[in-house]
Amino acid sequence: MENKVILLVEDNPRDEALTLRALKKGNIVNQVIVAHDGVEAMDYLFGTGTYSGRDITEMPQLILLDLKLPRIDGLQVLQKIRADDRTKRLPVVIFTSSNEEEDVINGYKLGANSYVRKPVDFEQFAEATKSLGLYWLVLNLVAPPD
Amino acid sequence: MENDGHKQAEAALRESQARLVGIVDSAMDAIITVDGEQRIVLFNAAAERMFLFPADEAIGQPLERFIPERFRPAHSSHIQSFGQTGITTRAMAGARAIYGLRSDGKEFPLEASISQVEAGGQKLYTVIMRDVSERHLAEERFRQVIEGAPNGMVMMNSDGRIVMVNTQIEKSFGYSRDELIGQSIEMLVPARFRDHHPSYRNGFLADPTTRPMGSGRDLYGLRKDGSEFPVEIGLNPLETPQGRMVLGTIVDITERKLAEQKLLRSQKQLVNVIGTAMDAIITVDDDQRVVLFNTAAERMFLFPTDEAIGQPLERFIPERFRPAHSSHIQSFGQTGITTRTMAGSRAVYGLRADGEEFPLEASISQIESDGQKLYTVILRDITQRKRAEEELKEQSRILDLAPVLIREITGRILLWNTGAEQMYGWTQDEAVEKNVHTLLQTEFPRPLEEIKARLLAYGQWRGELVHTTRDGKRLVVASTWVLHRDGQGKPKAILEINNDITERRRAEEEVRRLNEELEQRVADRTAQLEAANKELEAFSYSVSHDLRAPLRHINGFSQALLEDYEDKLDEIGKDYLRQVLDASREMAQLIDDVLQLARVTRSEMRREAINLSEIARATVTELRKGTTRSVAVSIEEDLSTHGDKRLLRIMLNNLIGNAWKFTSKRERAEITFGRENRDGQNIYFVRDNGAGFNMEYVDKLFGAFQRLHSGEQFEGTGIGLATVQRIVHRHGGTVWAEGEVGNGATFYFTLADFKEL
Repeated sequence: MENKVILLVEDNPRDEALTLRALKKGNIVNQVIVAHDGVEAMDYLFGTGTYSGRDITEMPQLILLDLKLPRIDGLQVLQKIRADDRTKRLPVVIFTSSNEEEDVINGYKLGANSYVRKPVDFEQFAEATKSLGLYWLVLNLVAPPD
Repeated sequence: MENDGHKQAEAALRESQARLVGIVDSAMDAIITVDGEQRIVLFNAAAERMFLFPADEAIGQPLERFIPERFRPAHSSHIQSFGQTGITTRAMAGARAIYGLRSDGKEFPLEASISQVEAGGQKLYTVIMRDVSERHLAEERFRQVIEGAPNGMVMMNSDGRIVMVNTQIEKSFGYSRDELIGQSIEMLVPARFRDHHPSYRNGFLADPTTRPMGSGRDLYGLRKDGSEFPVEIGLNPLETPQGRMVLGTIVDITERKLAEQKLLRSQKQLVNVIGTAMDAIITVDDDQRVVLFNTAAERMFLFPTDEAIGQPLERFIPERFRPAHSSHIQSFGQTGITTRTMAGSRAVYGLRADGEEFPLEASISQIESDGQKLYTVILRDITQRKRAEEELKEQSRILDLAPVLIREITGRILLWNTGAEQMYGWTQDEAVEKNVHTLLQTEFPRPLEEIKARLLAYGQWRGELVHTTRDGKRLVVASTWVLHRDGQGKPKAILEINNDITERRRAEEEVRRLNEELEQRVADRTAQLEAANKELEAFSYSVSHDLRAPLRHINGFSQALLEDYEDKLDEIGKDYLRQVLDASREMAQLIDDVLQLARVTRSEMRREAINLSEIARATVTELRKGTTRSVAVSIEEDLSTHGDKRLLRIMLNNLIGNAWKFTSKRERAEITFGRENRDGQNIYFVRDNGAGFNMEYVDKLFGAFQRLHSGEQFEGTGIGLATVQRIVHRHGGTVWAEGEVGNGATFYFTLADFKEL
C-alpha cells in the first residue's frame, strides 16, 4: 500500500497543511506528492520540467484536484489528464471549496470520478478526507494497466 | 079691400119672381126651362154665354136646337120618359157624356140635371147645365199625365175596384189594363197582405189625405207571374163625378231598395273603416263642434268618443295654435277645395287629454250635407316618425361627417358629400363631373388597374391612398371602395369612403419611433442589468471560494491546535478555541445562505408542473436523517402547482427547516404543511407548534439578516426567510406569517399558477 502515491494538486499552503494533517489523522500513510499548480501537476504526471526523469510508469493511485489554481486551472488539468492515454484512467477526485453547480457539472463532464466539497469545519474535512482515502485507495479497484 | 090684399099678393109675387129671376140670371150654370112641347120658355144669361145665343131669340126655340143632331132623338124620349117618372130631379145621362151645340156649330160636353114642375096644368122641365169642356179637357190632360207618368198610377173607386191604370202599371205588374180595370185592387197585393188591405183602404177613405201608404211598413206589389217587388205607394183622394176615387202612385223601389241596401252595406263598411282606422278621424260641423270621433281618435287623444262629441275641436289643439286653426278651417271652407293636407311643412300639434302635446300629420276634407258644411280631419300621430326622422337626420349628419363620394368606374364623380367637401376643399359643384383621381392627385399603393381588378373580383377594395387637397396638402387616406352593380350585374358605380389617417399615420410613426427608442433603452438597460448580474455572479463565485478558504483555515488550524496541543491548554484556552471554531462555522453558514439568496435572485426560472407534497416529504426525510427527535409531520397530499422546482425546494427546505428548528425544544413537535382555499385563492401554509414569535416584530421577519431570536436559542443566520420571500415573489405570490410567542407559528404563501398566466 505504501507505494501507492496520492497526488495532491493544491496551491494554498494552508489547505495543503490541513489536508496533509487530515490524511494523517485518517491513517492514510501513503506518500503524498503535492503539486502547487497545474503545471507542476502535469510535470509530475508526465515526467517533465521539475520532475523530468521520473519513472512515469509509476502513476498515482489517486489525484486530489483543487479547482482554483494559478496558471492552469483545475478543470484544464483534469482535461489534460483525461486526454492522455497514460493518465486517462487515473481516479481524479475534485476536492474544492466550490459547490457551484457549474463546476460540478463541468467536473463530471470532463471526467472527474468524484466531486467533494471541502467543508469549512475541519472535523468534517477530516472525515471527508478519511473516507476518500479509504474508498479510493483501499476499496476501489483501479483499472489495470494496459 | 080685396084689391089691397090682392095687390099685396101681387106685389109679393112680383118680388119673389124678381128674386127668382135674379137668382136664375146670376147663376153660373145655364138654366133652360122648356114646356111640354120642349119649347124654351126660359133661357138665362149663363145659357146665353154657353150657347152664344141671345135669350130673346132662344125663347120659343125647340130645345133640340141646342143638342147635336145625333143625340136629338134619344134626348126627346129621355125627357118624355122623365116626365112620366114623376121624379122631381135627377142628373142626366149618368156615365154617358152629353153634348151641347153652340150657335157657332161647336159641340161641347155638358153636365146636366133636369127637374120638372107642374104649373097651371102644364109641365115645365128645367134643365140646368154646366159646360164641362174645361173639365173634360182637364180630365183628358189628367189622363195623359197619368198615362205618361213614370210611376205606376192606379185609380181605384171606393169599392176598391180599379178604374184606371197607366202604362207603367201594366209594365210593373205585367198585366194589360183590360185585365186590371174593374178588378179588385187586391189582385195586385201579395197574398199575405190581402186580408188586411180592405180595412186599410176603408181607413184611408175615412180620413182621406194625401199621404204615403203604410208608413214604416215595407210594401210589396204582386206581379202577374207571381213575383213580388218592393213598392212605395202614395195615395191621393180624388173627388170625381163618379164618386170618391183614390189615385195611388206606385213606385217600383226595387232599384232603390237595392241602392239602399248597398248604401247600408257601404255605410256599415264605412263605419267599420272609420272604426277600425288606425288614423284618427274627427268630423266637425260648421261651428267646429265634433260630430264624429273614431276609436283611433279616442286612443290618440285619450278622450272617450261619447264625451268628445259636441266638444269644440279646439279642445284637441294646443292653446297657442287655436286662433290660427279656426281661421284655417274657415278659409278652407270658403275655398271649396274638397280635401287637402293641413299645414304642409309646418308641424301641426295635437293636445291629449293629459295635456301632452304631440306632432301630427293631418288632412282635411269638406262636404256639404243638407246645407251644412262638415269638415273631416284625418290625423296621424307622427311622434314616432318624427323621432325616427330626427334620428335619421342625426344619422345623416353623422354620415355626412365621413367623406363619401360616388363615382363612375372611369372616375367621374357623381356624388360628393359634405364630408368630402370639408376634407378636400372642393365644393360639390366643383367636384361633380370631374375625374376623382385627377382632382385629388391620387397616389396609389399599387397600379390602379390592379386595384380595379380586385374591386371587380371582390366587390370591394380597401387600402391607403395619398390625396392632395385643394390647398395642396397631402393626406394619407384609408379608402374603402364598394362596387355597385346595376340590375344586370354590370358594374355601374363605385362608392368611395375615405378616412383621413394622416394624423393617425403620423401618430403611428411617432409611436413606432418611441417604441424603437424604448426598445433600445430597454435593451441597453437589460444589457446593463445583465452586466450587473454577471458581476454579481462572478462576485458570488469568488465569495464562495475566497471567503471560505480562509474560514476553513481558521477552523482547521484552531481544530489542529485544540487536538494537537490539548494537554498544553487549560479549559479557558480550549474554550477560546471552541469559540473560534463556532464562529467560523457560523460564518460558513452565513456565506452559504448569502450565496443561496444571490443565486435565488438571479437564476433563471424554469417553470414546470411540480408536486409540493413530494418536495416537502423529501425535505422531511433529510431532516429526519440527522436526528432522533420525534416530530409529527403532516403533509397534505397532491399539492401540485407550477413553478421552478429548484427554487421551491430551497423555499420549502427553509420553511420546513425553520419549523424543525424552532420545535426542537418541544417534547412533541408538530409540523403541518397544507393548503387552504380562501375566496377562491390557494394559500399554502407551514405550521409548527414551536417557539413562535412576537407579532410585534412581524415586519422584520423577512428582512435579510433579521433575527428575532438570539443565536443561543436557535441558530440561524436570518437569511432563510429573506430567501423564502425572494422565491415566493419570483413566483408571483405573497408570503406572510402569524405567530404567538410560545405557541407556534404559521407561515403562509401563495404562488401564481404560471400555467394560468
